[in-house]
Order: sequence, then C-alpha cells, then structure tokens
Amino acid sequence: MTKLLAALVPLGIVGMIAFFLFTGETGDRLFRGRSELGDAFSRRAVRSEPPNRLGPGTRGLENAAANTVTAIVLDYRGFDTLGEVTVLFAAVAGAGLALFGRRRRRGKSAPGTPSSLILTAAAPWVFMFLFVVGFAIVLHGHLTPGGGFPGGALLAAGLVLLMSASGHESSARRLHLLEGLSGFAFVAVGVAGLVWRDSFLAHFGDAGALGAFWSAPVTILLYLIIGLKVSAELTNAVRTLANVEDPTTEEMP
Amino acid sequence: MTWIILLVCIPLVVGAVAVVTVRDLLSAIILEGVVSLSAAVLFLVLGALDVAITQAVVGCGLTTAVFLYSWRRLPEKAREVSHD
Repeated sequence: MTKLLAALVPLGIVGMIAFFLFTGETGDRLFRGRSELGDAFSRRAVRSEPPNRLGPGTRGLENAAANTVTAIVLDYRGFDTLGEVTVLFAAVAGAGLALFGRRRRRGKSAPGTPSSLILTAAAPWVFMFLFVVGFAIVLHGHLTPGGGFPGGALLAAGLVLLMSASGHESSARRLHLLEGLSGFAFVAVGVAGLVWRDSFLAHFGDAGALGAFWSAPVTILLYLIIGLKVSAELTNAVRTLANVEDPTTEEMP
Repeated sequence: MTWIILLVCIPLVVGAVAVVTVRDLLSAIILEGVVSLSAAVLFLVLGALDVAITQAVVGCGLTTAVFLYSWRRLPEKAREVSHD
C-alpha cells in the first residue's frame, strides 16, 4: 500500500506535467500551430530578406529544421552521425570489455557508506526534472540548440543520480535492449530513406513549415533515437564502473 | 558583459588552481565539478547554449560521478595526494 502510494506521487506529477504540456495553449503550439521557440530561432538563423525569401512558416523545403546545424548533422551529413554513434558504442563496449571479469558477484551488497539523506530525498524530484527537460531538449533538437546528444546525456545523468541514490542498478539487459534497438532503428530510418527517396538517410515525408514543432519529422525521429541510445550507453558505462570489484577486498593473483 | 565574464572566471581559475594543489582526493573531485560548472555558466553567458548544457551534464555531472565511483574503490592510503 505504501509502495503504491509512493509510486502514485511521481506518476501524478509526471501526468500533470504531461497534461499541461500536451493540452491547452502549449499543446496547440506544440502540435497544431507554430512553435514560438522555432519561430524565434528561424528568425535568427534564417534571413528573410531577398534573395533568400525564407522565414517562419515557409513550406516546401527539403528539410524544414529551423536549426540549420541539426539539418546538416542529421540529414545532409547523417552518415557521419551514424559513425559518431558507432564510435560512442565502441568506446562504451571497450570500457566494458576492459573491466570485464572484474564484476562484483551478484547478491553482495555495495561496499561503502549508504547514500546520504539529502541525496535519497532529492533524487526522485531532480530525476523528474531532468527527465522532462531531457526529453524536451531531445524533442526540440530540430528547433533549438541541443538535441539528442546533450539531451541523452541529461537523461543519463538523471538515471545515474537515481541509481546512486537508491543503490539499485538499472537492469543491464533492458539497457542493452534499448541500446541495440535504437541502433537498429537508426539504420532502419536510413534504409527507409533509401527506399522512399534516393539515398541512405534521405529525409522522406512532408517536411512541414519552417519553425513548426512538427517539421522535419525524420530529424525528430533520428534525434529521439540518438537521445535514447546515448542515455542507455552512458548509464551503462557508469553502471559498469560502479560494478567493478573492490580492489581492497580482491586477492592479488 | 565583460564584468559578468570576469566574475564567472574567478571560481573557474581559483578552482582550477585548487584542484591541483589540494591534498584530499575527494575535495579535488568536487572542485573539478565546480570548475566544470563555472565553465558551463561561462558558456551560457557567452551564448553557446548547447555547449553549456553538455558541459554541465557531462563535465559536472557524469564525470564527477565516474570519478566518485573510482574514488570509492581506492584503498584508504591512496585517497591523499602527496605533492613532493
């Protein structure tokens, strides 16, 4: 009963945030109308004077991401980003391999002092804040500075905070599954571009209006995939480090 | 503007010097986090928002967490640095 109540509190708060985000004026801006954030950024980033008659709301573009850097990173140079994600994966896998075989045995409690009261009391609230802000940064990657890499790192920081506060570790299997699935999804989106358009990772579908939240759908999708992948990878890396056997108790060979 | 930048640079420089001079390793780790956070604020003032977010999360949060996890594994006598 206490557990159920404890679970209801954060769920209620997340639900409230979601309600305010997705309904009313904010929801209108996010999903139906134009995003003020995107408008402001496209005004700053794209000149509306001739000869470039572009501005907030321009339609019929190849890639309508208001953040031009994102359009380059995920569309025109999307293959480089796939390589970058692979490099990150290789780095985490390498760290895991170097520390492999030094895992702590299951069931043995973590050494050291228990987490402090400040950490355990604040962690769920800070986690919720980091979770919402992280997803906001990931989902607005095509409009504002940020995107999948910093947003994913923010999500990972929240997970690590929760992990160090509770003493529980996130499930390695779930993290590996999320990591593998998002890596697969990235390539799948690339192949879809090859099928529906002319090249790997080409932007398919209606690009939408410049500055709108629902513009450049493939870019949103790719940044969401990257955000999930980065968060899973970084959390996994820290988890592996936290699991390494204590050298003071280890017998020297 | 210049004054704000100079103000942010004070903890940055002082912290950076303190990281290499302090004896206790735990203090050095926390000070390194303070340096990273000041750098993040500096990037924010200079208008590089995405760099600031990344610096705050990776430099101040995750790196400090990784250092702290490694610190926890150190034997007692290795937790102090001698500056000979």
